[in-house]
Amino acid sequence: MSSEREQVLAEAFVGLADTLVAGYDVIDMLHRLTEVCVELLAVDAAGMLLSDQRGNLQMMASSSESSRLMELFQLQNDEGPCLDCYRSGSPVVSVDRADAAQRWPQFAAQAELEGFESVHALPLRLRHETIGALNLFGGQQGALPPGDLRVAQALADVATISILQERAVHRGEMLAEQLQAALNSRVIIEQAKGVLGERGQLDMDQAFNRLRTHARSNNRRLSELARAVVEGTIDASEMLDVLPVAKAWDPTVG
Amino acid sequence: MFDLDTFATGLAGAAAQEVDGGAARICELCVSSLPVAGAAVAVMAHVNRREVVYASDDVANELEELQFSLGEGPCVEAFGTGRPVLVADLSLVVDPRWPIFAAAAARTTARAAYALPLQIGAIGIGVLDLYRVRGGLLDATQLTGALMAADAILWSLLRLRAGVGIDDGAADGARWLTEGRRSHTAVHQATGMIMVQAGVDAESSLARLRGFAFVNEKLIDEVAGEVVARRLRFDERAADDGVPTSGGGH
Repeated sequence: MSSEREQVLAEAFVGLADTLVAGYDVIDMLHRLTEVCVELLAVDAAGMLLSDQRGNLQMMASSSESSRLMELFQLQNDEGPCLDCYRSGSPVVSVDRADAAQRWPQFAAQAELEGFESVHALPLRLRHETIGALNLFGGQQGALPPGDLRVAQALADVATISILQERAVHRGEMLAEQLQAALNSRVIIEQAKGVLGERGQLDMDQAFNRLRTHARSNNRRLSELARAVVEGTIDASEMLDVLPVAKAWDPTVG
Repeated sequence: MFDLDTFATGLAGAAAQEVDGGAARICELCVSSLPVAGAAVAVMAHVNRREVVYASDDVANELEELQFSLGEGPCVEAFGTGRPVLVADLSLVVDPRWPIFAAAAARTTARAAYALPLQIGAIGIGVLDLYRVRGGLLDATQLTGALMAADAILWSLLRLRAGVGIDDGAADGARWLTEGRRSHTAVHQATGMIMVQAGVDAESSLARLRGFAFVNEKLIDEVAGEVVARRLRFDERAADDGVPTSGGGH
């Protein structure tokens, strides 16, 4: 591993550790993790699914719109590497599209549309339980170097810790409490994206970026800010002032 | 032996058939199927204003009354924080979250309590409270059942609060429960969009979306997708009947 690479890696983990020690928002943390995957590893996009403890997986974070679509596609069709990884609790590697086409025909077709050639999925593990999976999408064929795979699993472990560490882990029921809280935070953020998207005539990705930028620059937790937006306790125009609102939208018409 | 599939079928049936008795029916199902002695549902306007809509027995009712008169306890905590509160040993007075309640609860027969918030994102309407006379936690499958029961009660209460009759929307709760590996992201996004379009709160917004889906015999996710794609709007002037307008302008 080159020293430059080591430096980047060290900085990323120090940054994640700082976030864990200070007050942090779990959804923001998971998004940051997917972005770190793309910065550190030879992959082009990353996404994360989490168990909702009702037999379903839910999309929690993604580094880009295309990885978000790939995650949703797997959920909707009940097929794909992330689901296999979650169910088996083991890493899943698919080095090219021919391999993917044999294992997950619908997934492979969608991956082609999004321009992905390879895919890796790593489990989010807690002791004997698998609580979700991290998906890595590559625009090139081939397996990740072994070093990258280890880093990816370490990042997946950090994700597990960040979900469980929001409060000190000292009781057996923590997993359910934390997981459910994280899932509900995700829902609040989606509701807030809808409010902002409609107010500012933004697409959902733009709305999310406005929300996150505002949370960071005002040192607020993402899900708290999202709740304030949905409950109307913060003036959403603060977040929309960055760029002028599209003229076509007239608030008096609704 | 708790069977999740049988339980889920029972929940779907209760959510589909019962209108005002949905919460009660689902609580009864919890008591008969899960290893719990009693169940209660508290609906809250906010932390200090609440109504116990159902309690399966005197102990379940007393636990509710205690918590609200003291202003602390697992139910209060679950509603305030929006996360499940699962207490394996209620008599542990060392729990700093509810010292007075713990002492009072120790005089009842309840030894473990599980409080599950009834919520969809920022929409939080109450708590499903389960208790049992022996300590310990639910196992993973039982917990899944309890979470599904909370979903079913939430759905049933939302329908009741929106004033939707049994003829319109009876099956949607059941459908939501049985939709399997579907992500409802678009439903949550559309909830936020309709809040702005129609000038209503999140709960009313979701009720509009659901009502429209039912009347048009579509899945709520389908209708939500149309809203997010800006092909469908729910405007303010339609507030009386919830009829949306086609959003061809976008």
